[in-house]
Amino acid sequence: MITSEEVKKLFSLARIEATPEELARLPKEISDIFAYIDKLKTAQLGELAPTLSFAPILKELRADTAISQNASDVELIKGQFPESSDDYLKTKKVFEG
Amino acid sequence: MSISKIRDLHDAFISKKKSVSEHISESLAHIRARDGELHAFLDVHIESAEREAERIDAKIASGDKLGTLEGIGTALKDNILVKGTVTTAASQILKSYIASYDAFVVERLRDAGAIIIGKTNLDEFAMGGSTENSAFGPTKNPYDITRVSGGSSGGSAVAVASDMVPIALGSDTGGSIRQPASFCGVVGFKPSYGRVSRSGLIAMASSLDQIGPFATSVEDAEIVFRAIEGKDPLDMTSQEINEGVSNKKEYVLGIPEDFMKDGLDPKIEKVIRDSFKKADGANFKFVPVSLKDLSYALACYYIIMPAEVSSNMARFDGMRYGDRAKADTLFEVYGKTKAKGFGVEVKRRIAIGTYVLSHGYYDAYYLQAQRVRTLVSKAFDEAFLEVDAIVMPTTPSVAFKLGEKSQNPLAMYLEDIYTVPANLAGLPAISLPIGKSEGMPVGLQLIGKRFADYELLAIAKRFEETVA
Repeated sequence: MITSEEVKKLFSLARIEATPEELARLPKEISDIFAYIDKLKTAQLGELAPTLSFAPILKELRADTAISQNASDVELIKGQFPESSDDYLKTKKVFEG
Repeated sequence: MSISKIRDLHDAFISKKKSVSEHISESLAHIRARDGELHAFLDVHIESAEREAERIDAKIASGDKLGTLEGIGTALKDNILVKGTVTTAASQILKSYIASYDAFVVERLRDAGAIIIGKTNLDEFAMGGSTENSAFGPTKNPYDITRVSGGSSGGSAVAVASDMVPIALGSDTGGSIRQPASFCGVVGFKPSYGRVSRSGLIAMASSLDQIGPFATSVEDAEIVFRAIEGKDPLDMTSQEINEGVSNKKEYVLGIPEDFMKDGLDPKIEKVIRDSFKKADGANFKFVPVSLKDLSYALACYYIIMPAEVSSNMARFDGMRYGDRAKADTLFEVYGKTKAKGFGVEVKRRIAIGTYVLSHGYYDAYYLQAQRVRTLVSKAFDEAFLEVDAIVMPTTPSVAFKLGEKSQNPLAMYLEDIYTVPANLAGLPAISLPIGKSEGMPVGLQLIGKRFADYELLAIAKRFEETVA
């Protein structure tokens, strides 16, 4: 059984503030889902390896060079900044003090 | 639309029986007439669609050769980027986000001359099976507006099913094209993983996501697939495949009797088995195949998918684009932005994904699930030694009532039971409308060998001709 404290911890690891309603509702819902998922433990897997990727093996990498963007694309991207100052994206301080 | 097949429209354009502008204005008129009730579209690109139609009409007038898709109205699920237009993924966090580039599939459709009519509704970030998780309200089923359209690509399915557009694109991570196609009585095709570039598709679970078409016939789905498939340097998992088609006189289809028992509505089973009877004989032979390991597929999917979701959703932090909440510190900005921007299903999946990836649980859940994924792929490989395709229902029940499962996430997840195995194994799969149960459409699913997409489409076409 997953507790409300654990849900709060998971939310905080994912950088989401949890609401009281979510903390009341999610422990049971997530526990029900895990009760179902637990059937995986009965699978007979022998020596089977995990499937970690479907990507083909890379034969070559593209050149590690800067690709210049046209000015209108740059404007489109900058236009999406939630806050900006001159040409810069503005955020709260990353390092305190 | 009096004409809704691509080739018929194409012939009408060339013979000047119908102009592209007429086709587009019919499409827009259907949207105006029905979308208030159904809510398939989140955005309609009226001006650009009309402008494109005029351009192609001028081309026809000057006697230039016309491509098959040229002038055909198309809808796109709103998690596919179209440069300079709003792309929301049906989330509050992206409600005013303007895409800065075209998805690869959009470039390909533009090159082919298809006309983008608008963007369709979905479950937020494609997470759900009913479109009830859209931040902008659900899409309703055109056969019964008290029922869901299915999801997550519900808007695209409804746009095609209710004659608003002849073709549409969706994305399928665990059934999000096939399930709504089944619920709305249209064709929905999920290509093999790696066959269509995901560049410009807002990622949900990157090892499972694949873009594919909705249409009213297999032929139309194939025309769209031909236009969008192929290698794209911006998606390292995309591949160029040169594939021949067998044109067999008789295809052998495998029925997974042991797996199909799980939760199947007997009324659906009857429709499905009736279609087998009808097809058995001249063109098809049906044999039982053992795929009992597929019973682990859904549990496996609900570990791998949330793990990838939790990683993909981290980018929506309100820093570079999207809505940003106001707060004093950086961490509080993140916390409040996501709290406000994401709906509960997105948060639930992030929490599950964070849990299965955390220290101490990684081996027991995530690695175990990836080993089960190998088991599922192997089960298919063995079955394909004996059969050309696997055949089973697309969904265990017909479209359910709005609100019926929205308070019970596990019940909603169980809807995906027949569709997730193909995603886990990277196989192509298609849903065909084959009948009705109590007035609601029933879909039949055909699953093919990996990268044998055209072969699967050929089998589906033959099935469509035989059973229709």
